[in-house]
Amino acid sequence: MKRAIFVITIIIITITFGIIELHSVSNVLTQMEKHVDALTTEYQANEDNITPLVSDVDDFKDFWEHNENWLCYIFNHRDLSTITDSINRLKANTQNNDYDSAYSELALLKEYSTKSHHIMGFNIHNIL
Amino acid sequence: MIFTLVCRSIILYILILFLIRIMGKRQLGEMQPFELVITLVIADLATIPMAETALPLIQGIIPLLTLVCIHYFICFLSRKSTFFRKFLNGKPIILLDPEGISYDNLKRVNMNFNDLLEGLHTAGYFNLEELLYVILQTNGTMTVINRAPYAPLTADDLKIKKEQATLPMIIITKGKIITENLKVAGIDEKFILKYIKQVGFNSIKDILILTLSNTGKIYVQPRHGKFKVINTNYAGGNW
Repeated sequence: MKRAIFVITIIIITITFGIIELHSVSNVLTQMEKHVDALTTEYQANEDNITPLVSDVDDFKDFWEHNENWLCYIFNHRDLSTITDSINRLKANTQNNDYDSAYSELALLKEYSTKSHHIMGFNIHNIL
Repeated sequence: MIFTLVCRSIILYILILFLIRIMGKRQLGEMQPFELVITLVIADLATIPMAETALPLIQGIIPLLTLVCIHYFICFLSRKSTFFRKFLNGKPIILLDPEGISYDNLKRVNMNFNDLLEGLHTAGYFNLEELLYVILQTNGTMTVINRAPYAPLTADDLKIKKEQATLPMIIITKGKIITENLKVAGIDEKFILKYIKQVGFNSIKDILILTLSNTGKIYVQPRHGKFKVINTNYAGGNW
């Protein structure tokens, strides 16, 4: 009986954590997508001089780093660091007023935020 | 990720179990197929997050916990259902019957004659004509029944009355009396002291181990020195 209670407790805890994790990851990715969309609009509006947008990139970076910390408890660090690297490149390109490179980096981040729903989510492709 | 890990663990567990079942019984070696699977997989799973620091520990923990749960349910089902138990573990196979070796059954369990002979030699049987049955159990071990002329003699065959052997009760370990065992044996500390003093031990603290058998024999060994056996007038207990 004790063992049955132990097993049922494990199942309940796993399901609870699974639901919380799915919900939280989806939330982070949706917010990230919104951030990237907002940045893209700003970059398009300031095509001639994007350097002042560094503070916005910093805000985005803070947002990501805050979430990356707990995502590291679940996902592979190396997979997450590709997004961090991309944000760092975006910041450097913005400081250098390199619109084209910064814009392509934003496109990459948009791709990460949309595709990660599939990669980090619960679906048959990930299972198999 | 958590649900993905759970589903992947379940699929791989069932797959490995299935593969081990179709490989035959010779791979098992005293474990049921589902026990072997969990032993193989748990050992491997634990090492992956240990060696790969980029992987979070949870990616090792979730599959392990999932396997524990599946294992529990499989044990539960195999206890409750005969059909499930047969499906999971298979059934014992007769490799040798009164008519001789069953070649078809050997093939069924993926064995050859050498495997059979090797198993029999390991179990201490060298002549096939002495054997009535050889059964391959579900855990991969062989059980042998001898033909009557070659079966070992028992006390009953010889009409000899033997005393029932019992497990000796441990009364003292490392200088400490186990009071529960003292109660079960129905004796007290004075009884023990009386006999150990007879063989030169003055204190219980000097004793490494002391056991009492149901026939009244005391085995006593000091921490440093040779053991001694003492015959007592102990009447025997109910254990």
